[in-house]
Amino acid sequence: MQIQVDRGAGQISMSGEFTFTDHAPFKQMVSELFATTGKSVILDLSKLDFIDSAGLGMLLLARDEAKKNDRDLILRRPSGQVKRMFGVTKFSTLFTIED
Amino acid sequence: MGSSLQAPESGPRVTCWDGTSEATLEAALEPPATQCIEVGLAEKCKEDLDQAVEPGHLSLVVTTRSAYKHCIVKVFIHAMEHRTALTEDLRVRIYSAVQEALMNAVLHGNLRIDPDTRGSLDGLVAAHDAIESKLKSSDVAQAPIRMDALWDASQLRVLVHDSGVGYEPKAVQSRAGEDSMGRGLAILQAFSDNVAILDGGTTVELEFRL
Repeated sequence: MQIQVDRGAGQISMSGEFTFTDHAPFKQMVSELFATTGKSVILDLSKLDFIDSAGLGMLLLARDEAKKNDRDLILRRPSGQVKRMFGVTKFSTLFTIED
Repeated sequence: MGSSLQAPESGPRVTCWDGTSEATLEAALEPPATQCIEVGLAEKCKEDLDQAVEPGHLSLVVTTRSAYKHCIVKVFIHAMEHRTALTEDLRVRIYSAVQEALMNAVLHGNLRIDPDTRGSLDGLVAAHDAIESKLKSSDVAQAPIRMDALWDASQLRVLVHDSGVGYEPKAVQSRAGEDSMGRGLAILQAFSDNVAILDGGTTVELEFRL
């Protein structure tokens, strides 16, 4: 998994595949949550091709870390397998998801 | 590169993977291979080697270390695509479900990582430290994980076997959707046509209609 950060826009873009072994880029992503400006942080998932349950679990941890810092985490434009995984696990009840 | 362990008249069928990369695994799984075993596991898998693998069956045995470090499932599915036609929808469903089953076999079967430890950022970091520490032990790192794909015209079954002590399936079913393990089971059920937990929880069988 790779991330691209636009601190000014409060947006982090994820690409590639996000699975259990991606804890290093995930930790970097969490630290970027605190570096962005504004109340909401957007995670752009349009270029994320694949996610497993561990990746979903890490998104929940990111959400909790954002809350601790008084930020809202918004998931934007999931597609393909990632969107299907969100449907299967009812992620829309746990996150704000924008198309 | 993949090398042949035995060469029956029909050509090499059992191959050996050197464990170095996805590219060498891809080469080792090229047809006509029907069974591929990571180097160093041949002795441990002697019984498996003695069982003839028929056409419509692809078997892969890897170490816990390799299953954790490499994208095994992606290469395994690619190898299946060389042997039987898979639609894009089916490929996505197989990849999603088998990846889940393999990581479950690695983390909770062979490495015995407590799923509840990953509920916090500190817990996640601790889990990865514990994994790196456990993989320093040769016994743990070399413990085998076996994947079998069996197919005919109507269905494909994928079995993932670990070397752990198993678990009580009902304990996980009661947590469906609630936590990481419960989410994993929900994913297996949603992406496959049938899920069976066998051998006291050390084998997951996933069935897909073709």
